[in-house]
Amino acid sequence: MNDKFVLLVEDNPDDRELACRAFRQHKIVNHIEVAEDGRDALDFLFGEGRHADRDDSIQPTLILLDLKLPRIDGFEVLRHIRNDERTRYLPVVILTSSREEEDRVKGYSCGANSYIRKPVEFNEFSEAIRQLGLYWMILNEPLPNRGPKP
Amino acid sequence: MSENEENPILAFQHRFTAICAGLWCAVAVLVFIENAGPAAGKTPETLFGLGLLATGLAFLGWWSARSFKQLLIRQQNTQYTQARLAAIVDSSKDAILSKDLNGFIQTWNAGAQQLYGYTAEEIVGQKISTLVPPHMKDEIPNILERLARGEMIGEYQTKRITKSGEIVPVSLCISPVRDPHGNIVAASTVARDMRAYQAALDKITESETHLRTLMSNVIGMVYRGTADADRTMSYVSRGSLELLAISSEDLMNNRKGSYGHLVHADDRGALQDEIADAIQNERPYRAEYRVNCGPDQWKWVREQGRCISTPKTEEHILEGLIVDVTDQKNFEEKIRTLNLRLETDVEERTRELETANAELEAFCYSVSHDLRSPLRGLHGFSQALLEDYPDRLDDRGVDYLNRIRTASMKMGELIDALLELSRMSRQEMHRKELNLTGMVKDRIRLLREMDPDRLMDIHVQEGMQAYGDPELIAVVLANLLDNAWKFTSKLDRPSIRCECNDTDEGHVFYIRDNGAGFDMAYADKLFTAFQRLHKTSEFPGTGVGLTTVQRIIHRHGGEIWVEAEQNAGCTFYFTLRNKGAKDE
Repeated sequence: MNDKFVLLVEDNPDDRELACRAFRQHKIVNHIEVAEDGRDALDFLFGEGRHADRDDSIQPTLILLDLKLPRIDGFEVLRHIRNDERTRYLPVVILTSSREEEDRVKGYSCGANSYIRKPVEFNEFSEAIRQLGLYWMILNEPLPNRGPKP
Repeated sequence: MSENEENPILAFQHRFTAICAGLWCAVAVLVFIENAGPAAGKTPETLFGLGLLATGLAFLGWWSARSFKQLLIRQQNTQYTQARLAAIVDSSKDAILSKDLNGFIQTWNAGAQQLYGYTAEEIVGQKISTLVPPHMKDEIPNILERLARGEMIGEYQTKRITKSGEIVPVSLCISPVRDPHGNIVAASTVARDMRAYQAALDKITESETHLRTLMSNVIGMVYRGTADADRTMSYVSRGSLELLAISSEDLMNNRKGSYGHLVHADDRGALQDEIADAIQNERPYRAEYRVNCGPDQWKWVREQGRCISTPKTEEHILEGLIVDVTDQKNFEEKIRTLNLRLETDVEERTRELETANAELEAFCYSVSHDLRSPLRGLHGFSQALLEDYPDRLDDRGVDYLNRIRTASMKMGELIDALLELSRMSRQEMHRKELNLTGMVKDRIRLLREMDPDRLMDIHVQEGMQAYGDPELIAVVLANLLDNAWKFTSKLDRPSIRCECNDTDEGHVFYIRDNGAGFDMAYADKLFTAFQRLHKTSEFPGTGVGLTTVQRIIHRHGGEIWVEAEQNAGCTFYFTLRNKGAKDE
C-alpha cells in the first residue's frame, strides 16, 4: 500500500492544507503529491519540466483535480490525461467549488470519473475526502502499473 | 320654286297644245274652201271640212276653259302664300323690317315693335338711324353701301336703341331686295334680341372667372392635359408658379417644355404605369414622385386625378391636382431615419445587455469559486484550531472560533442562495403542461421524510394543472412549501392547504399555512433579497428564497402576492399564464 499515492492538483494553499489534513486524519494515504497548477500537474505526470528526472511509469492511484487553475485549467489537464497512453485509465475526481451545470457536463465529457463539490463546512469536506479516499484508494481495483522503466 | 314663276315645261305644253289646235282649225278651213266652189253643195267633202272645224273649235274651247281655271287656281295660291308669309312675319318674335336704300323704314312687324318699342305708325317712313345708338351712327352708311353692292349681311352683332332709350344687343341679318328687273331697291332686316343670350354668356363668364379664382387659390396645381409621356397641358392653374416656378402660360401647350420632362427620370416609368392602369380600369390614379423646379432643385409631389375620356378614345385627357408633399416626405424620411437609429440603438443596447449578462455569468462563476474558497479556509482552520489545540484555548476562545465557523457557514449559504437566484433568472425556460397537484405532493412527501415526527394536517386539491417550466416551478413550490413547513414548526396542530381558484384571469393557485405569519405592514419587503421578517434564531433562512420565487413567477408572466396576519398564518397566491398567452 506504500506505493499508492494521490496527486492533488490545487492552487489554493488553504484548500491544499485542508485536503492534506483530511487525508492525514483518516490515515488513508501516506503520500500526497501536490501540483500547484495545471502545467505542474502535467509535468509531474509525464516527467517533464522540473519533474524531468521522474520515472513516469509510476503514476498516482488517484488524481484530485481542481478546475480553476492558473496557466492550464482543470479541463485541459483532464484532456491531456485521457489522451495519453500512460495516464488514460487513471481515476480522476474533480474537486471544485463550482456547482455550475456547464462545468459538470464539461467535466464528465472530458472523462472525469467523479465530480465532487467542496463543502464550506470542514467536517463535511473532511468526510467527503474520507469517503472518496476509501473508495478509490482501497475499494477500487485499478489497472496495474506497468512497473519501472527497463 | 316660287309659285309666281312660269314652269318652262308647263309653258311649252300650253304653247304646243295651242299650236296643234290652231293647225287643226287651219286644215279644216282649207278643206272647206277647196270643196265650196261653184259646184259646191252639200257634198261629203264639205261636210267633212265642217266636221273638222267643229272638232277644232270644240277642242279650242275646252282648252281655253281649262287654262282659265288653272290661272284662277294659281292666283288663289299666290294670295294664300302671301297671306302665309305675312302671318309668319307678323308672328315672328324677331324684329323684321324693311327699308329703302336711303335708309327709310318701309315695313315693321310686331316683333320689331316688341323689340324697339315703336309702333308701325310711329316708325314707318322714319330713318333707320333712329334705332342706332348715337355713338354708332357711322355704321349705317357702311351697311347701306354693302347692301347696294348686293352683299348679304348675316349674324351682324351690334347694339340698337329702343324708344325708351335702352341700348340692347342685337344680332342682325340684312338682305338686299330686288325688283323684277333685278335692281336692288330696298333691304330687309331681321333683328334678334340678344339680351337673354348676353345675360347667359355673362353668367358663364362670371362662373368661369369664379372657377379660375378658385383654381388659383387651390394649394397646388390643377390641370387638364394629355396622358402621354409629354403630359401636354391644355389648362394649368396659377399654382404652377409656386409649385414648379413656371407660369401657367408657359406650361400650357408646352410653351417652355412639357410637364412630362419635369418628372424625375427615375419616377417617370412608375407614373406612366399608374396612369395607364388607372385609365384601363377606369379608376382615379394617384402617384408620388419627384419633379424638377429649378436647377438641381427637386420637390416631392403627390398627383391625383382621373381620365375624363373613355378608355377606348385615342387620346386620353386627364384632369387632376398636383400638390407639394416635400415636407411630408422629409418628415417621413426623418421618422424612418429615427426608426432605423432606434433599431440600431436597440441592437446596441441588446449587445450591451448580452455583454452585461455574460459578465454577470462570469461574476457568478467567480462568486461560486473564489468567494467560497476563503470561507472553507476560515471554517476549516477554525475547526483545526479547535481540534489540534484544545488545551491552549479557554471557553471564550472556543466560543470565538465557533462564531467564526458559524459565520462562514452562513455566508456559504447566502452565496449559494444568490447563485440559485441568478441561475433561476438566467436559465432557459422549457414550458409544458404540469401536474401541479403531483408536484406539490412530491415535495410534501420529501418534507415528511426529512421530518417524520411532524404531525401536519395537509390538504392538496386534486387535478391542479399549470403551464410552465417544470424545474423552475418545482423551485417555486419547494420554496413556498418549505416556508409553510418551517413557519408552522412551533404549532401543535399545523396545517397546509394547497388549492386553486378559477377567476376571469385564469387559475389562481394558493398555498396557505396557519403558522407564524407576519405583519402586513412589512409585506412589500417580503420579496426583496436579504429582507427577512423573522429572526434567524426563530426561523433560519437566507432571505433570498421568495425573491427567487417572485422572479420565476414573473418570468412565466404571472403574478404573486401574499395575505398574512401576525401569528395567524399566511397565504401565498400566484398565477401562471396559460398556454398560448403572450410572454412577459
